[in-house]
Amino acid sequence: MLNLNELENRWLKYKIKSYIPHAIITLLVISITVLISSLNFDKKETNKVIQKELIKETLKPALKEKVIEKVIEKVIEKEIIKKVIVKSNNTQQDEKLLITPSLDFMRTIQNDSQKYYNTKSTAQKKKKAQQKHLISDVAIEEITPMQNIVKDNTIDIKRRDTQEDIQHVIKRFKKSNNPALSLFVAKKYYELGEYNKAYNYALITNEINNNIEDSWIIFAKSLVKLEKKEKAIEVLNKYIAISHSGRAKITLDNIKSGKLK
Amino acid sequence: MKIILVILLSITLYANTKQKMYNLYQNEKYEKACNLGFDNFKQNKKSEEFLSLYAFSCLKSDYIDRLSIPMAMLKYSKEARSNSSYFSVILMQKKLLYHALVDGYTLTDLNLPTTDYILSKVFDLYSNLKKHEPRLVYLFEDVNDNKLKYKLYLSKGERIDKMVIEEFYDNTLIKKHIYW
Repeated sequence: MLNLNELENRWLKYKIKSYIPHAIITLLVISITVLISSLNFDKKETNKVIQKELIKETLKPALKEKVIEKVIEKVIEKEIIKKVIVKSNNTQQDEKLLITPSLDFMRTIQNDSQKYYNTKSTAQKKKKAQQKHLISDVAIEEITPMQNIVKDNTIDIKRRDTQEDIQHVIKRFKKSNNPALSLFVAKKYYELGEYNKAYNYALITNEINNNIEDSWIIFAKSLVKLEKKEKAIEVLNKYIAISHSGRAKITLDNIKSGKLK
Repeated sequence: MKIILVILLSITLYANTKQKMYNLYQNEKYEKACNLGFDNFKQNKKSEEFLSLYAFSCLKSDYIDRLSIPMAMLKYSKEARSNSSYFSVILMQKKLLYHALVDGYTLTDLNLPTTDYILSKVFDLYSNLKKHEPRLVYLFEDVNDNKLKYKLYLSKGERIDKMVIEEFYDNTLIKKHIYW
């Protein structure tokens, strides 16, 4: 039979013996660090004492001025450092974190809408093609106009109305040569994204009457859209120099800052 | 068949609303876009693009309080979170500025982030005033453009006072923003 108590005692002794070297090493390390730090501290203190003694010695009448100068320099340096810190703190307070919005989602909406309309238009085209096939098989002359009427009742009613409006206004403008009408046409074309036409009608308006603020603004905006930003800036600068228009200034600032693209 | 029709119809309606709002936004008809979004919010609330578009339309038409719901719902993408924090700063600044003007709450010790929105600009200019006696009208000059000036005052209403910010460029009134 094994004597368990004796075995446990022996195991305990063995365990304690195994820990002894580790404990000695850690104690040594601690004592060495304490010694080094205390030595350094003593050195610093002795240095300070020596410095003080030196200062006392140097504070003899002949050397007094130099020491005073040094002391003053140190004080000034300290003050400068303090000021710099205060200034940096102030700038930290002044510099506010600027949060800017992200408008990338607009692009995705635009792309989605294009896809949406493209798919719609392709579907419509397919439908039309199928209908045409059917019509050609049966009776072309009679049915095609009917099909066209059905086809026309789909989406583009609003847009065509504005197009018709524009054409109507253009006719009136050709008769009367009224700048208000040409400005209306320019604005409408700009809204529809037909910047070339908007540019032309704004130009015509300016030729008839060069004091219409809206016309100059539409003219410059159209130029920007037609990727002639520098020309737009030049035109607006000239107009502002003559008219001192506030709205033109804002438009100019928007163009320069890139807000108006 | 009916289910497919309903799904197709809902998809087209959803696309239509977003598209209409986008067109209105592009044509600078922000108030109409905001109201359209408000009327069709329930059907489109899961689209972060719709939420952002709705929030920006309302922001541009000075319906700041309407930002609170899209602000809370914009969280699933980096862009949405960025816009959400943008709206939250503006909403908070509006509330704080109104509180300061009506109740005399001091904003001097606050160092909040800022935005490019007019309310943030006025908020920063107001908080830079430090402690002061309440005034009837505050006039501020833009930090970057000395021609741009802001006039801040309270307009008395029947039930509630309204905070008004008027934007001037070269002494001509450009825009008037009313918040309450």
